Amino acid sequence: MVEKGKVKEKIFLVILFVAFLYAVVEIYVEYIVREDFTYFLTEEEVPNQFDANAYLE
Amino acid sequence: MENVIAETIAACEWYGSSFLVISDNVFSPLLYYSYFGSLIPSVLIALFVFLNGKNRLPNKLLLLMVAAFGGWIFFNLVTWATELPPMTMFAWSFLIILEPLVYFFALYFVYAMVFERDFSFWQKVLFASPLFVTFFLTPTKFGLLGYDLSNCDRAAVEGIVATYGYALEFIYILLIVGFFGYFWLKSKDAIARKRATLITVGIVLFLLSFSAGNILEVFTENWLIGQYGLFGAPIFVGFLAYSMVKYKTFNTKVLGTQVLVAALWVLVLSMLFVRNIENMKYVIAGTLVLVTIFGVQLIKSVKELEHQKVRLQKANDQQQSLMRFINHQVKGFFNRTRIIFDALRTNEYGELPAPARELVETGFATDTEAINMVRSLLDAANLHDGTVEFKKISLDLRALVSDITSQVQEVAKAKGLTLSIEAKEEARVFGDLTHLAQAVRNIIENSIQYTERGVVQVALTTQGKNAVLTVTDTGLGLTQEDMRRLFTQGGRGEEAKRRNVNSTGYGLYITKKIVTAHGGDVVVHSAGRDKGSTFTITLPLHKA
Repeated sequence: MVEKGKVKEKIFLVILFVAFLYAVVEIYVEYIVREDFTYFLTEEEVPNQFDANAYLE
Repeated sequence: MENVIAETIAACEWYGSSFLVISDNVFSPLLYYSYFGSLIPSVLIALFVFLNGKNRLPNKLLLLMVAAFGGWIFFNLVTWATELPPMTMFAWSFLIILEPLVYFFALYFVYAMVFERDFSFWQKVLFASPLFVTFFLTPTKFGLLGYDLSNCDRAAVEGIVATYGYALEFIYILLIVGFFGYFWLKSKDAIARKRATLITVGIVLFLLSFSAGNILEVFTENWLIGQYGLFGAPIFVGFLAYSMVKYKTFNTKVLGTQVLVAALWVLVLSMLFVRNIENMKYVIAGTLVLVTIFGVQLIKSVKELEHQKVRLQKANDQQQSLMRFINHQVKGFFNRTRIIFDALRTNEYGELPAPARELVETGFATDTEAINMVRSLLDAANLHDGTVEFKKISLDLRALVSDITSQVQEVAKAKGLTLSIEAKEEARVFGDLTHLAQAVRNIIENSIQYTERGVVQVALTTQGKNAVLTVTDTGLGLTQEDMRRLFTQGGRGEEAKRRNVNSTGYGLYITKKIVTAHGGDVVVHSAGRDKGSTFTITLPLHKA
């Protein structure tokens, strides 16, 4: 019989791995397939990552 | 808008790239040297280590860490080489995902190596859960805000998750140092502490050299200097190799040497690809450092091996001299007292009173047993060294087996056992009479010794080109583990050890040596404890 702790551990590792795969597929679709990202043409346009407004559409 | 973007990209006049990573966009060929010079030795080490112990947790973790590191190297080169903004965005996002993973695996690896145990479930949850944030948010604007076309640098603009990743990396390094400190304070074992120090220092150096780009960028705002930080990665390789050789971390001394040679080979080979003579100086300097580190370690390990060899030879000589001493002295002492006991028990000095006779008989039996024991130890040593000379003749195995069976019949009877023999065919073999007799006697006596009740059946047949002697008993029986080590030096079944404390455990080893020296084999089969055993000796038949 498989230990209960081991099952929990396996489930957690599978979730972690699936999350990793999700991230890889998602960035592929987002950037390679859909090319969905913003170009900043001038230095003034380049946002600061610590500015909350940068994340608003 | 799309036209403006296309025009701006065209104005940047970037070079094209092939295989995603080869391009003149890469600012210096040294980058390839720094990246592959650190990646290839690391991959070789991780692969060698993994293949030498696929089930060991640290080996798996080292491979995972190096795999994530390899991915990072590849996608970082892509970001330097590619002229395509979507590819830059994709590769850059991959870096944000992979970088904390390398640190997580490094933390896990150090823990497994230093404490020699796995994380608990809750430790796994605690230390791995922060990775979910990078996994789920990197594909969003929190990962990358966009692509910077303002200065033709082919760079993405990082979001807050990238900085979160750097903070996470810092925390993982702190945890590595913390775990090491905890182990250092708790452990009393000096060797374990030294080993833990080497592993931790090696990993921390590796991670720092890996992060050098990010750290140096913060202080100098210059990305280029940081890219050479990876030259530090082989230092980790060196530390790891040293700990392998010194503490047999991965139980493979040869492994360390193979990896060192492979790493040097790759480094020297990469010089061919450095075209700029100015850059060559750095390559040579880097290689010189590696040659020095690896070379010193190699010389040290070879010296250590040589010393061990001398020490072993000395110990072996001492052991042989001890065996000779036993041969000439101890056996002689036993022989002399045995002769005295024999003279007394055969009434050469007159009739003994009953209580004295009993003592003399015990003394005689004890001396006989002691002489047999010393003789079997000497036989085993001689057979092991290959110094036994076999005087082979054509002999009848049936007559030999029958003789020995009748000689030990009394012993079996005294134990209340039935000893039967079935040997209808003549079985002529080419062998040394004395030694084959010893081998046959050993297995028959062994069966009698370890059978409390029931029967011991001796059977001799011929099968094809072989004579087959089987000795079947209803005795103690053997477990799988017992059978595996029964014919080794001093190898005895667990139950047998308990019941017969005086046995040396060399009898069956001697039998095996003698039989194999005659081109035959001896095997044992048992259905398990208390289910009896069957010993089978096979010897090639001799055609007169």
